[in-house]
Amino acid sequence: MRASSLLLIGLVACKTEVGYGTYLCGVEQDCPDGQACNGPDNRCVHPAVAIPFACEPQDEHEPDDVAADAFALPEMACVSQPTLLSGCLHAGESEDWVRFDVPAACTAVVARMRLSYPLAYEDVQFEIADADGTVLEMETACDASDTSLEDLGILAKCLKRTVTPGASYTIRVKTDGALSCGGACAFNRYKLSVRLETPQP
Amino acid sequence: MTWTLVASLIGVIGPTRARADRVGPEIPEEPEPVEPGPPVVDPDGPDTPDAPTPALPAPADPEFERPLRPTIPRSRMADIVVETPGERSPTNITVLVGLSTLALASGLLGLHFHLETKHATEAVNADTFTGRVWMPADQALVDDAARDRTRTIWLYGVGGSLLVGAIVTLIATDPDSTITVIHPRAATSSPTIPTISPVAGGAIVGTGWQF
Repeated sequence: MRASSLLLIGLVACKTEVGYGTYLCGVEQDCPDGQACNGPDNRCVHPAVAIPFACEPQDEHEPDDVAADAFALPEMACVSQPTLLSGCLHAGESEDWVRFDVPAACTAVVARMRLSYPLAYEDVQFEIADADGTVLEMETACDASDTSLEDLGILAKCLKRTVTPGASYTIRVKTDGALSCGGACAFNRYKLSVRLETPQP
Repeated sequence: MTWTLVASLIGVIGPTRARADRVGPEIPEEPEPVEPGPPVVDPDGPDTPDAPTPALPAPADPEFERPLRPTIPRSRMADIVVETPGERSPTNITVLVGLSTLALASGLLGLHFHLETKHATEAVNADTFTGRVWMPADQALVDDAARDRTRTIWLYGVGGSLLVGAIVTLIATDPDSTITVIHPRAATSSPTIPTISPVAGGAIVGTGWQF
């Protein structure tokens, strides 16, 4: 009887027990069985308390769906600290536009851009364009030092481009259109940082 | 004369008979009076008037004087019981070994899956925020753990059932032991028939015993 009890206890101890809120949502809002992705913080929680994804008002910069309506970043110096923008692509919205100006007094300037977003929802891409929205260059993979947040469920993409002093540029942030989750999670929030710096020889 | 011979025979045989009885079990009993020591034989017989008075026997050795062990009637000897354990048939042994081996194999296999389950569950179980993303690999571990857990339960169940079956078989097929009772038998107590042989001047009286 005692051996049977120990065996039973051992088997019970081997049962999978993943507590609520212990994991971040995976790709396409993936969570352990019996849990659901919580929109505000991307955590796997009890389905009864899970809140659907929604863009926060402060992250919306509408209208910004075309280059002409691009949301303007604050003015930056020739060598600047990163300017951070929190944005959100709500369901059904395919792209946001952001504009920045390069000071005319600079001699040589490089713009460093970085876009980060949760992997739980639809994949997000970005590209740099001129003031009219003509695409100049696509994103690339970040250096190893810029991917440190992947373990926290945050993906990042980067872009570095020499820009002309006195010119204006736009950044197009868009979903990849792959309709992740079968289209059920065609939205995402993102953080875009832009920094101007002197090019290294 | 005749009485002297009889007494002489009794005196010789008495101690011998007593010694023979000492080998029997010790059972408290009324000691039988035994005549000590050999008497002095008068060649002329007790009826001779001028015969000297027979000398009393000298005090016997104290060792010899102590009460002799009682004679135990053969009918009161305890039976000797010899129990011979039964032997299992080769088929029975084969069945028992087979059941035990299968039970052991099932148990070990169940233990293997038990440890696999334990490893998988320990990799994903959490009760505080881990800061990790739930990945397909984690779900695969959970699925593996559930599958191995089911296997573990089945194998432990089968192993336990086989073990119980082996024990039940062991008890149920326990061969009966053979009990042999030996009844100690006394020698045939034929009546002691005295033999009288006339000789010149008298007769010799004799008889016989078995020891």
